Amino acid sequence: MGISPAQSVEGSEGKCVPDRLGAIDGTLLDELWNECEGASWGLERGEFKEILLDVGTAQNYGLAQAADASRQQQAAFFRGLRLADLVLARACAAGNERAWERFVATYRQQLERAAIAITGSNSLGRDLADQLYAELYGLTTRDGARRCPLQSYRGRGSLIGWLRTTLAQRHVDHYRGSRREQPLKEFDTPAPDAEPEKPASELTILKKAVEGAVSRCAAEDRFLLAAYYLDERTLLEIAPVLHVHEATVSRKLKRVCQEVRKAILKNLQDAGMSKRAAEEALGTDPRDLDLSLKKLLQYSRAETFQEKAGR
Amino acid sequence: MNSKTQPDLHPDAESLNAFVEQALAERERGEILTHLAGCGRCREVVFLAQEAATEMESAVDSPDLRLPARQRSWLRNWWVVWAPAGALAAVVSLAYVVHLRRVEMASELAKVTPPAAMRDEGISARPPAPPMGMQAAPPLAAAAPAKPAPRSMKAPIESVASRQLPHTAATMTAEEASELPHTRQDEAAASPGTSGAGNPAPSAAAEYKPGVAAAAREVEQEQAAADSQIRSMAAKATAQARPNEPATRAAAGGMLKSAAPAALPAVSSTPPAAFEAGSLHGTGRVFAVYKASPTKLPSGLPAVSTASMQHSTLAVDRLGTVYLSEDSGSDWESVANQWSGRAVSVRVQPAVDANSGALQTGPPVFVLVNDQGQVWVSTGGRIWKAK
Repeated sequence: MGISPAQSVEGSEGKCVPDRLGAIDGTLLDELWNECEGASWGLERGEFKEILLDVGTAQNYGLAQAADASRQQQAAFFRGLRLADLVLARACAAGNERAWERFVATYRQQLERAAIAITGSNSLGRDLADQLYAELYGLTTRDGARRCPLQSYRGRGSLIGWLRTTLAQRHVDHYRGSRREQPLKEFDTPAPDAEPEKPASELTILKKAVEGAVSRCAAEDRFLLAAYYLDERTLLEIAPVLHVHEATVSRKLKRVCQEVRKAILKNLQDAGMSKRAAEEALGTDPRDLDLSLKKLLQYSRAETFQEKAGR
Repeated sequence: MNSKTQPDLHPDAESLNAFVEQALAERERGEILTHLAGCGRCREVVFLAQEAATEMESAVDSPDLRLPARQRSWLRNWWVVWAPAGALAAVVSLAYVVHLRRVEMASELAKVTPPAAMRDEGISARPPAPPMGMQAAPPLAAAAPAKPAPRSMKAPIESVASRQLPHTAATMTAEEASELPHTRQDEAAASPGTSGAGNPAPSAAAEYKPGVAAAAREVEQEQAAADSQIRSMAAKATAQARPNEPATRAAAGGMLKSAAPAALPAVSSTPPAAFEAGSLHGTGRVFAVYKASPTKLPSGLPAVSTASMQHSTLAVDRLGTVYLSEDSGSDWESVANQWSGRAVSVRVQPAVDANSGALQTGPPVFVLVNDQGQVWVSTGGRIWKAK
């Protein structure tokens, strides 16, 4: 393995020779073919090559859209794939009975456990798992063609992880969709808004200062702020997602808060406030600010993602 | 934000899973992280998938892999607890069985051994060999505070004597303790066929004492006087205890208070001399209490030592005056002082040749010991000769 999956293939050694579709090195293909156990599911070597090329080109070998992948970058990308899972998923999508037997024996129970863990309910979990299992088996059709979500699995992560994430997506989407159908609660008549103590100009300056400070945070820092303060996730929950210890998450959060505070103070002073006035402005009631942190944290979504989950 | 309504805004399950499993390159990871920072839906998906993974791992680990480890740990922990407990229980059980067998054996021997043979055995085995016959019984009774010997008529005696042992230890005064060593030493040589302070075999005394009717009268007298005398002795002993032993004094009062009622019925049912001998192998205090309890001396003082042989009974009061009774304690007369110092104890001893120290077949003799440890011998209790 010349490069680990987590490493960027952009910096790998070798000449950046543009490679054409269908041009996988024969030795590499043999190596990958022997590793994937594709013959067990009746897959042929040529089909396996097509699958690899399909997966590689769909993600541009893990590179930016405009970049061309060298032979080494392609090799690193292919070697980072879960080939056994990928071949099994494609064999199942193709309707291979032996592959389905293996899939059921390996993942059926895990799928149900994951669904129960995600929903927090045995009945809901089983329903969710059964629903996804039916979809995986290809009972749904689109435009007259049998459609299997396993076709969208590309082997970047484990198959069971993909199944869990798919279950979580279905559950979240279902929950968010059904929540809108719930009757609205009767709220007390809100009290009339009190007159803000601070003048509007000062609040405007403060709002811009906050926006500027948060916008300059790194993506991981904003993820931390959102997960901890908006979603109210615990350090223990955040840590495995970032693959760090919870103490590290705590230190990072503390550092981010200090940096945001400093940035806001600096922005306020840059806007003409004295240091004392800027510090007093930090004590402003957040409800006086016309500011949505949710929107603020979403501002910099430069990239868009193609939702390719098979539906 | 719904993937159905805005399908192009969210990363697919493949990318989110690859992000969680760290299977993405830095550029892709940054893109996902940027999206997650602003997308609550995808954050929720990621956290739910992560929680499910954690729960599945723990569920897989716990039933199959951790159960044997738990069982081993449970067994190992309980072995740590049970091993010493089992060993302790085994030792206690063994000690109990051995003690029971020794008590029964001693009682049986005391019952069936003829007096002459027992005398011979008692003398021959005198210094270091207690287990044979009569001499073995008192230590056994003393060693078993709560164990009665049901197969012998001496069982109540042993039981009462053994019950007194803790109290004697707690209430013995310093003065009495100083008398104890030579008293014990002399008892070992006492004749088993007679009863008295020097007789270490209560059960034997009950069988071989010739004046059984007289002993019964003594028991009746004891019943009347025992309660008050025990309490007065306990109070006196407590007062004589050293000032630096407050706990001992407190225990003495309390224990004697509770011991007296329990002891009285047993005393009334057994010959007093036998009872005295049975408790002699204790530490001395209760021995003194029960030895003095039946004796009503002309001086009005309690007797600190008595010895009986046939119809003659000798008693010594606290002032050292020696009294002789030839009607088993009904009438007392003072014995002329033929010894030096103050008499502190009397006992009965088999006749021993003065020169050779060998046992003689004649009747036993009275032995008197003064406060300096000197010994005088008398055959009838009136005429005393220095030994």
